[in-house]
Amino acid sequence: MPADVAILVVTALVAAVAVAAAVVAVRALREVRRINAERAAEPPRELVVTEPEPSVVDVDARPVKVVEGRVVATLTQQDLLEARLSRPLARLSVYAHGIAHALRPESRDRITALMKREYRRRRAIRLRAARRALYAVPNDELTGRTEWLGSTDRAESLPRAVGE
Amino acid sequence: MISRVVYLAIGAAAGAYGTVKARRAAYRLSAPGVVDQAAAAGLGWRELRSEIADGMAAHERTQYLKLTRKQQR
Repeated sequence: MPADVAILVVTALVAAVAVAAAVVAVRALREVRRINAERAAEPPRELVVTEPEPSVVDVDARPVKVVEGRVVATLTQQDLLEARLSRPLARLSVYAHGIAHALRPESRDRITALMKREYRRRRAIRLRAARRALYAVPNDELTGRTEWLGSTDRAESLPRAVGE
Repeated sequence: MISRVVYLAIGAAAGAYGTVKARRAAYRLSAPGVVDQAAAAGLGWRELRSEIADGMAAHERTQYLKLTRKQQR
C-alpha cells in the first residue's frame, strides 16, 4: 500500500471517530438541557426527610438518612480516618516511608545477597548440567579424533582465500 | 633462587586469579549468564517491592494509630 493511500485511510478513520464523538457530545448536551428544563418547570418541593425502616439484614450500623429519595450516610470516625489517610500528601508520605524502609542498609544488603546467591545457584546448576552432559558423551567420540590441535591436515583441506 | 620461586608463585597465583575472573566475566556476558542475571534481578525486584509494601503497611498502621489517639482525646 502506498504511503499516500495509508495516510488517506488513517485520516478517514480519524475523521469518522471525530464525527462519532461530535454526535455523542451533541446528544449528551441535548439530554442535559432537557433535564434542566424539566427541573426548572417543576415546582419546588419540600424537603422530606424519612428515616429508613430497620431491615433484618442490617450489617452496617452507620446512621443513614433518606433525603428526597437519596440515601445519605453519616460519616463515621473510620471514614474520616480513611479519608485523611487517602489524601495525596498522606499517600506520598506512605510511599516515601515504604521506599525508605526498603532502602535501609539491612534490607539493601539482604536483597543484594539474595540476588548474588540466586545468580551463583543458577550458574552452578548450569555448570553441573554441562559437566554431566560432557561426561555422558562416550570417550571414543572425544578421543577418537585423528587430528590434533594445530595439525595442518584439516586446514589444508579447507578452501583458501584469493591470494593466500 | 628463592626470588625466582617467589616470582613463580606470584605469577601462578596471578594467572589462576585472572583465569577465574576471566571465566566468570565471559559467563556473565554469555546468553545463559545474561538470563541468570535477569532472573536474579527479577528476584531482587520482587523482594524490593515486598520490602516497600511492608514499610508502607507499617507507616500506615502508625499513622492510623496516631490519628485514632488524637481523635479520642
